[in-house]
Amino acid sequence: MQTPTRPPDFHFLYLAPTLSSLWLFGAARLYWTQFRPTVVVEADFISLVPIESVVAVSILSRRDTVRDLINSVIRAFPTAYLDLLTYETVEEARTALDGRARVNQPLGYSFEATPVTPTRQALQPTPGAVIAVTPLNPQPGFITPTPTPAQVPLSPTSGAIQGGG
Amino acid sequence: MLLSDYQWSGNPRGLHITNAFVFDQDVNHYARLRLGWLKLVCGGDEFLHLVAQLLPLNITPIVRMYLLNWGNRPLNGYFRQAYIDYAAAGVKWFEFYNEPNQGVEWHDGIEPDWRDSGQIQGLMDNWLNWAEFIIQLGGYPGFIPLAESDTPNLAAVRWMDAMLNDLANRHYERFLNVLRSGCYCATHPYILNHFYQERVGGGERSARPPSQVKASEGGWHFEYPYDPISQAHDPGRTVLGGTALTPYGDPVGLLAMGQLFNDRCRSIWGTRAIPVVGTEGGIWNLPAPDEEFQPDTRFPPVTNYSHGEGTVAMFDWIATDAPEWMFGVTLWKEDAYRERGQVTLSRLEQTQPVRKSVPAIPVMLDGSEAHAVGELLKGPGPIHGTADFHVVVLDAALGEAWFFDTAESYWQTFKPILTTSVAFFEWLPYETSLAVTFIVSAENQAQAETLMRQNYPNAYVESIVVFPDQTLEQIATIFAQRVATGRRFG
Repeated sequence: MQTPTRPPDFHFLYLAPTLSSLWLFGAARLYWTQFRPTVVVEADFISLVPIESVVAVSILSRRDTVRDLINSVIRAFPTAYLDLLTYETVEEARTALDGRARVNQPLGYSFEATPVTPTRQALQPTPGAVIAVTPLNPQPGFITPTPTPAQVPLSPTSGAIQGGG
Repeated sequence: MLLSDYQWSGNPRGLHITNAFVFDQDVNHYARLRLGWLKLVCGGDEFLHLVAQLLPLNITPIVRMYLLNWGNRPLNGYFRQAYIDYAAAGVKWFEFYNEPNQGVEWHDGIEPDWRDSGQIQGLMDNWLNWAEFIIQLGGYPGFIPLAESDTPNLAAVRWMDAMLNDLANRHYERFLNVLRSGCYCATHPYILNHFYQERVGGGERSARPPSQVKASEGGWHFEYPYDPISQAHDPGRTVLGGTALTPYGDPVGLLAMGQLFNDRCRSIWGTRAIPVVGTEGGIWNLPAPDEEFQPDTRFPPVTNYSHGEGTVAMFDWIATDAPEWMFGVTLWKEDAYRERGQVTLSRLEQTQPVRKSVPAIPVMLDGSEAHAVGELLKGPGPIHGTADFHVVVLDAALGEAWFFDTAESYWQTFKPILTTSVAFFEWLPYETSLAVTFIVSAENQAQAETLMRQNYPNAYVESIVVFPDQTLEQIATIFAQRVATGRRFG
């Protein structure tokens, strides 16, 4: 979650599984050639990296699927830095990714110029036990545009008490 | 295994920490509260330092990893590593799933329902794999805690029965071995105002008003729904229900779900006593100084004062009056107590905890012992059907064209992972399987294949070799033929 101030130990390019090959072979070719991220279409593989590692995941997707992909990365590696590459067309994606390759910024910013952000934020659990007929609603997701630090609203839940009168 | 073999503080008092990723815990504060348990919800390895401080103070940590909308997904590599790290640091008590009978714990809008066999079977398959993994680490796996619901599709007692029945039907021997090997049951006893203290000379159904309760005096009742008041109001009520008023059970008691778990395991697997720890709960809600709450009008209201007395008494009662399997509760949760539970915290600081004397009885009625579980094996493991991960490794000495100009339709069809590194394979657990397609120069082929054969003998390995006179078209033809025939591998 902390903004990397140096190249991450592991950099993944996570493509939405619904995207066609054009997004990788057309839009991201120069980017991949320059930075060699590991390309995945599922997040499970990311979870194998040693947990003390600095991990960045560049998520390439359209807006309609980005939330699901964010959640899957959070599940796989909660401390990963999320780099959102959210575009609606291959051309838009290519323009942005080629630009990063040209200026040698795999995550969209210069590591030298990146200010150090505070340490990982505390996870705020959901409220304590409630007396309710319906279960607690999930916390809403969030979208953090590149290159600001991604924060992860991880929240343990309490035991909902329902009835039992 | 004996019930007394479980390693813990012997002190039922516990607290649930505020959050994962909190770095400013004051371990001395926990010592001043005279805690015996501290429940940690972890996002990663951030509490390893705290564990090292807790154990010398005889405060037993319980570790649950925070799982976002996990549903019944299996353990992944990240959390697997974290469990290994915490076990190596000395943690014995672990949890995995949390309250699967709440929608918030699922994903994609799934509505949890104990009647959905797919939900239950997935939970049990993956929980059992996790439990055996925890036992391999020398730890105690916690059976899944449930929210205390009596809503039909979420009803805790129905969920408990559905889970245990599924284990009995499909995994009888494996779960039996887990029960013999250090399993405990995690519960979430948020007990509302389901407790009282008798008035002196008033009889078993008399209840003191909140201003007159005293932890240091006797007459406390925490056995809901088996207490005299509850039974007088609804004779015959049990945790399972059993009366017209309780068609989906009554799990809102300190012992309730733990009692049900032990009863069921005794009748199905022949256990005698399996430990139970409330890993969330306590007298809840926690009223502010000028508030009181009385969700159940049969019992006295709870005030800020009576919450403190009741909480001290509850822990003492667990030590002295509860069944031998009831080991304690971790109060939900630290920030709430700091905010409005100062009276209760003060009472905990002022009073010595009563330690529980756990009898040296076998956890099994017949005294049978567990089968030994093997050590953790290095992965990847054997492939059963299809490999979990298919990785295309592009020889870093080759240009990107050898993939990007040759394999577009192949990638579109099979979506393999693409990398230039084999470092990942080192971290694959034995429970996962691997297939690797090298796109490799002729000069590096032997080295790559030897590395895989020597280090990862269970992986399937193939090479698409780029010879010096090879053209991109020739490699593209190889990939195109695979697509045409629907074959991922050659």
